Amino acid sequence: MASIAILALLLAAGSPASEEPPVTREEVLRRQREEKRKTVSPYKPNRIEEQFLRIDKAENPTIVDLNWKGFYPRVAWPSRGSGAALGARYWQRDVLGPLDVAGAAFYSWRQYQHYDLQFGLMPHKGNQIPQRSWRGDDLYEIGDVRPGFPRFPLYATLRYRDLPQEDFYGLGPEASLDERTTYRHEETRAYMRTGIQFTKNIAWIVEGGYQWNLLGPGTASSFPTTDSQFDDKGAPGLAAPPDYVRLSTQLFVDFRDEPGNPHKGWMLAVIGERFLDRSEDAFSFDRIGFDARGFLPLGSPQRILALRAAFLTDHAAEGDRVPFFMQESLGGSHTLRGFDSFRFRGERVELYQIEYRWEPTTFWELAVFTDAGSAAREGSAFEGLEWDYGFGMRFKTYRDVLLRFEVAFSNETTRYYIRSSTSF
Amino acid sequence: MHRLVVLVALAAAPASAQKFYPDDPIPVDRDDLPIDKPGAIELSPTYDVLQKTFAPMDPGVEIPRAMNANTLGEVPDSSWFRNRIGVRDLSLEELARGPSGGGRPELPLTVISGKATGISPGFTVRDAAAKVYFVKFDPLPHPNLSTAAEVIGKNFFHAIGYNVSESYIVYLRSGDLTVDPAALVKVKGAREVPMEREFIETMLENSAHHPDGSTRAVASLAVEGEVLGPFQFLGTRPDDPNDIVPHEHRRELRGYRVFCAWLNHDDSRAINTLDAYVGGAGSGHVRHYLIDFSSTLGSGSDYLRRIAPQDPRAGNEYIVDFEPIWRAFYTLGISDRAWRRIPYAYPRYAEAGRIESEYFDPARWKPEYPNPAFDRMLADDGFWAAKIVSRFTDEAIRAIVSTGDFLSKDAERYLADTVIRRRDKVVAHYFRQLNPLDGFALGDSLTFRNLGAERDLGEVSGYEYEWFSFDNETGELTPLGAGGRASEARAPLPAGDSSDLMVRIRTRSPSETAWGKAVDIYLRAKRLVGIEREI
Repeated sequence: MASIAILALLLAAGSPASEEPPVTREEVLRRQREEKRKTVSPYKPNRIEEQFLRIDKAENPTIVDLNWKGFYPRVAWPSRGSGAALGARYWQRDVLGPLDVAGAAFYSWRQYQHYDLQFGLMPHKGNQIPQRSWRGDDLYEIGDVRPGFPRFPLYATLRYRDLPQEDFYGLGPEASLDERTTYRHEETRAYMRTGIQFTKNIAWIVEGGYQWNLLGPGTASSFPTTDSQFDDKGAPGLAAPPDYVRLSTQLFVDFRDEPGNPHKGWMLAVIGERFLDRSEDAFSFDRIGFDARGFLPLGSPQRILALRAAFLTDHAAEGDRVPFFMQESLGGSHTLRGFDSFRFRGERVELYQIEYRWEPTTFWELAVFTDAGSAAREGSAFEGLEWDYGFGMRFKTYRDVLLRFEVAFSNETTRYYIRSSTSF
Repeated sequence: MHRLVVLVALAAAPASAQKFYPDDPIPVDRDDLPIDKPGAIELSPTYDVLQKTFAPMDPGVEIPRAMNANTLGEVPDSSWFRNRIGVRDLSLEELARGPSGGGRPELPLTVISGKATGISPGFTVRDAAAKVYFVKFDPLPHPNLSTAAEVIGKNFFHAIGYNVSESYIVYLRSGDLTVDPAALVKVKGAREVPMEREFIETMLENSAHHPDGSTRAVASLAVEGEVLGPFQFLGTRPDDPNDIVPHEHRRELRGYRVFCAWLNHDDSRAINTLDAYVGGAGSGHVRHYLIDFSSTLGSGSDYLRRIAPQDPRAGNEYIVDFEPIWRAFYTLGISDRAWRRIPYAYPRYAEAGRIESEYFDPARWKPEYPNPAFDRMLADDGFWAAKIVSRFTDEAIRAIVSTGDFLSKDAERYLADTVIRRRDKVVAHYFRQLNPLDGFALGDSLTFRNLGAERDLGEVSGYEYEWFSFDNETGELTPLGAGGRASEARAPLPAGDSSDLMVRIRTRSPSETAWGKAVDIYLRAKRLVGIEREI
């Protein structure tokens, strides 16, 4: 109604009975401009545009770089089985000369907690927050080698994790789905990392530090606690979880085009670790492993065949055993996706993954996949492969997977995933 | 706001409107009436992409004819556009000079601010004559690519008629640059920080070098007046009384699509435009500029938004283009984009970047995302633009391309040849969309030219014409006898003493059916006053 009134006023103002009709085109246009002069108003963007303008002016190229004074809000899965966790990463470069500070704090809906603080000469590219691989998802902490990283990184890390509902089914291939139990694992680590970046694609990392472990009854009410179903023989280390001096070395060769969203190239990570039991000297062991991934464009960058093979084996010292909670496991969103997290656990694990990915557009990817793998006790041969298959959809930036939705099927269950990282 | 402007325009329309006024066709639109300085506008590039992509023009909406063309269908000179090659021949020197008015920067340059972000990092300098320039470099892997595109593109769009700033290719050495003590630099993800000498040295070091050791850059002179921010391709500026025609209905903005297709200016979006208030406070007006031509021809940016040879997608598909996305989705990625198979000459002529002419289709060309003015371009808008394109001779194109100052003459030749072939495709396409008659002249009879036939785009078997008298107050037509047919491009004048005449002409062509569309030519007192084209 108001607009009709305004219109009527405008019409009345625009054609007064006393005004002579214009006699030239120039006069017609001039009168139109004089009319508009009466109604000029400043340009005002709508509220949505205003918000976008603020984001644009922050000069952040992608959503993953959005931050407030170095705090980057994130949804993360800081450990297998943790469920989605809300929190933030913190990142400030060059706070003391060339030394950087990073940190993270996350709390998941399953009450998992993750806190860490890092300080030193850290690998990063410009102002971009460093890529991050959570232990539990990959074999290494920082899954990236980029030009511009410091040639000799050197930084300290202090990390605390409270994992209240870790699953344990038993060790080796005979672990039964019906024997699912849960335990609580509190882990604190303090360590130093250093290394050499030989080229823009090859880095060698050395790490040394101390790891404290505490175990307790799991908090998941639907399943019995591990200590009620297993003894120290079936679950080594359950009775007296050892603390460790941990020494680690990693060789990282990365020829992927974009580590967070690879379309071509390959990477190889080789890891060798020594865990020295500082409690009762009954659980010392060595670990070696590799993780190889290849990405082959199938005639077009919108069709990619992604392949992965990983192998890891632990060797306990003479008379020692490997604690069950330190053994590598399969199952979950990065390994055997059709199985529950930690479903298969052993001193030896092997994993094979194949994905056919296709991109209708650069920020939207679909995939069909199959995973196969097995876990075995030390000294035992692998017995057949557990396998699954599924399909998924990812929303991405050029550098990262922002959201990954997947459905995976196996002979045991159907699993649904929403994640914020690439599958591999 | 757009609707309101239309209402205001309607309200102001006289009760006894005439079809033609005595001053028609107007050669100049006096949109430089004194106004108070409008406020500065900031647009969100992200919002612009999303809004134009996900809320595009309703395809069912009826598109009106361009609203700012004069009665001959031409674009009058205004604060938006000044007819140059469209109305007169430009010498090769004029074409190569482009917008330059002798404002080449005088060394040394004092850096007064810097930008370490965006596609083209660079800095703002003040030269020895206190003039301000924006300086941008070529990235180390791509010598001459973007600086050449910037200057060549600017010279083309200037010759066409748009307002552009002066740009110069300069060769700098470290000693040519000093840092103003108050200079700040904006670093990605951080606030502005004081600029240190190291910033300059790093930028020079990371930029492509000339064989003589200098660093090549393009220096763009700051536009005259006070900067008001970009203009949009939709609606009008609400605080500019002179801006009364919705931008999507401006012929020079609709036709801009044709020029952008020709020169592969895929980044032709609002953020690459600029309004400036020129003149004294209260007595000035807004002038509208096009800026940033670094993403034209074969230059563009890669997926990390770094200067690079043009992405093969550019010009062929929107950033978000639903049809190919859907097709790739349901075929499991088997249906691939045809543009991926285009055999570009890159990197054989690396300085020219990634541009070609064989697969180029002016009708299917696309900017980065939908542009409201481009979406509303009609055949007569395209014809207007194509006429201007056709005015660029081979020599003119080579003269402009030479301003890129390429090291490789082969690259320069390749680029010029490519632009020439793209010109031919543009002209052929738009001259085939309607009856391409032009060049009307009145003597014993009305003579005209068939621009399509002149370029051998189709055969002509003759012309049919019908004469009418018309009432300038009501627009009513009265036939004057039976129509005629002529084998030549000529329509004999009718008998009688009517001074207000209209003749409707159709071209008969066995090959070009669109040439059979009507062109109505209006004469008053033996003076050509109007042309209306059926589309």
